[in-house]
Amino acid sequence: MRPTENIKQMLKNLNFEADGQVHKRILDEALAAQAKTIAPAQPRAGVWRIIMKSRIMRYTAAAVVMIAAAASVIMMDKVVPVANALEQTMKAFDGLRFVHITLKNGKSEPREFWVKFDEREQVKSFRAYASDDPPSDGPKVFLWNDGKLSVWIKKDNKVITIHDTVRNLELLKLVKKCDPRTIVKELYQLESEGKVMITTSTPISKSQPLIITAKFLRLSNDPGREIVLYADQTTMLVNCATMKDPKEQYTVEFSDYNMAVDANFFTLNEVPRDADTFDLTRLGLKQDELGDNEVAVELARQFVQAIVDKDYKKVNKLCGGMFSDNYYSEQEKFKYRKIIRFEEPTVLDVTQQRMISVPCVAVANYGGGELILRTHILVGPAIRDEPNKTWIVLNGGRNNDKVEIIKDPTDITTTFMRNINAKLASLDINKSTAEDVTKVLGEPWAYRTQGKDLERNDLPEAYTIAYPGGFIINIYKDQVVQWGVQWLPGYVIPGFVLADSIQIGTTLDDVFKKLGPPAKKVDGFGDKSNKIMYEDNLIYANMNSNERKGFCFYTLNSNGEKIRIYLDDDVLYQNLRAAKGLCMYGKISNGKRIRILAKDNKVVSLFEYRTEPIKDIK
Amino acid sequence: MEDRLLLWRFKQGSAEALKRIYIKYSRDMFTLATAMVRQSSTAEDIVHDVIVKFAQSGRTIKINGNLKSFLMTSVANRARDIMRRHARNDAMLCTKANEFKELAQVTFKDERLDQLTQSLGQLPYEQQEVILLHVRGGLRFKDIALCQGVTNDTVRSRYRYGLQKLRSLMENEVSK
Repeated sequence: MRPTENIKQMLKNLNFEADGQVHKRILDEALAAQAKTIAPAQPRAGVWRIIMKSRIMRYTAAAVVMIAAAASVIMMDKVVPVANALEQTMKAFDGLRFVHITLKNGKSEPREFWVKFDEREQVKSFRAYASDDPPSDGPKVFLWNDGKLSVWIKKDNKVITIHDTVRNLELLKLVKKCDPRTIVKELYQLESEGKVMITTSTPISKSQPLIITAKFLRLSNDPGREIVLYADQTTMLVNCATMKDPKEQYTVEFSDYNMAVDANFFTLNEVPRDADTFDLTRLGLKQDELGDNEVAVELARQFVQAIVDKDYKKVNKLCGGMFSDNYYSEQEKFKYRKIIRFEEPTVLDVTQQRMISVPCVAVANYGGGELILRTHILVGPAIRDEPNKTWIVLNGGRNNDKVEIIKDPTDITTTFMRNINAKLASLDINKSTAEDVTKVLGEPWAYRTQGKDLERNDLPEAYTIAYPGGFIINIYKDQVVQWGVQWLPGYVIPGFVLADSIQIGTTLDDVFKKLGPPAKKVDGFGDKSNKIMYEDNLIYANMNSNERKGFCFYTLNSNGEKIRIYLDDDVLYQNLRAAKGLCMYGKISNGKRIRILAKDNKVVSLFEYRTEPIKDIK
Repeated sequence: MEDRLLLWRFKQGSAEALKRIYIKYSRDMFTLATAMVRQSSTAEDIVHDVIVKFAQSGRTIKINGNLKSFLMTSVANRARDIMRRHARNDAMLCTKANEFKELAQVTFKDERLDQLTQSLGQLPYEQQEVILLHVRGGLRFKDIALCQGVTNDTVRSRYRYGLQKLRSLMENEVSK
């Protein structure tokens, strides 16, 4: 052995040893020092499997896997706080109040968020921008404040405010998913549960980011997923994250940490003043703790009571703000006067939207009289699947098919209708005035026009006199135009009969047997394609019935203007306005012009129409 | 691999891991410390300081290289601090040298080893440190360079010159 090698060997054999007492003293003090550094209440982070990327690791990968399975392994490369990489980034997020998040390459919209956090690290506000979500909707600006989401749809110049909706929660979920602090905390938690494996790489140059790679293991809900965080080595704040899973890969960039922003940043003050605003948080009725049936009945009760109280603003609110405040006061065919009771609701799943029908028994003005009706008020959630649903009235019972007259409190209807033919026999339709009619038939229940009640001493040129049982008389320039009845569902009162046997409910076949078959049939008259059509294209925008001999039909032109056109007698207008099964027919029989509206082959409206033109009284 | 597991458990707060680390490396630490300061009580203080500080570092400890290198470097750093402090007091240094001589005479029954430690003490401190850390501590030159705050080449030079001088001293001792 060479002298130098000999010396080396001697050095290697060099040994000093302290005695047992010295070892014990040193070790006891070391253990005491160690014990002091471990806070007793501090939870441990669980198993850290942090494997530093290094050249050594490439050759010891197999061994690492084996040991990692048994316990956990720490591989050391350079001076790197491996176990604390996530902890340090979490610590760096202490006091985080603001961050700008940008999504790249992903499918999710919106892709840009500015997020404000409160002191409890919860999202307090965020502003987001979507370029085209969904396609065709155009750019949108989202503003979220304490659970309330406002969406400015630029294309429609419309702002919709919603609360606790699915869309609302989806956006909040997306923000949380992209919140850098949440990402780091979740990885920390998952790693402690052994559901992800963390590897950390620290470049020597401080200008290069610390790279933390999290691979989701089989135990996790997303095996195969990978998240790579890039953190600034000086601040330990995450500046970028790449998310890879089998379905999607995207990058999230984080910037402007704790940047001071203007107080108006989290308001939609840029929205034009003329924008339409719909605040759904103030409409309808929140479900809260109520069950579906309970909220449905409560909503129906509030709705009907609001009509009784003539509080049409509330009516509109409960209807989801879909109508003008005066809609119900003007358009309803009957008016609730007093609630009697609500009956067992029925759940309807006829569409994808869950709806509930609430039977309401109430005293109402209907057909000019006061009756006890059973209507069915249809209610449903304004937006599907939201956790705390806002319920709105979808149909306030104005659907005639659902209306039942269950009792006539005065029995005047049946009495009136029982004698109607005899009373009318004393009147000549071509010569009678409004005063003549009321002298014979008695004081009417109402004078009405276009759904509105009128004062007797302030009547317009054209109006309707309403009697019990749906019997009405149309007046124009103080002269009778027609009289007759309309079908009231569930309310069959024999009374008004024309041509000896034609009444409400008579089949069209029986009508033709009695009156003779129509000379001509016209199909689809007045449908949307041909708008207002008549054989000679004559349109009568006023009641100058001298120009035609037929009977009157109301329709709307393309401008929504209500006009009247006169139909020929002895022609069957079937599938009227493209409504299948709806027919209109007029025929003069024994000097009386009979006008029939039939639905599904049965008479639902029966009138005697004057045969002589209206006299133009000046 | 065992060191990594031990270190991980130590960072998790395991007292057992700390015990095992101490038992495993205490002899190396004592030998290195004693060889450097040539006084048993000071060597004990060095090892005590190093291991207590190591225990206190807990989860925040940063390890550069392997565990043994870390502990050896820590001992060398601590010994250097002490030697520099003692160097200000020549009298004290002299006393320590005498103590070391006594200790060495007691500890080493092997005459050659005794001669080696005597010769080692005559080398410049930086050269002793490089030789002990590299040969006895098993540290790589680059790790020693980091420890001493010098370049790799300087460490290699110190090692080469140190060994040459040590051989020369031992040969002279033999020829006497």
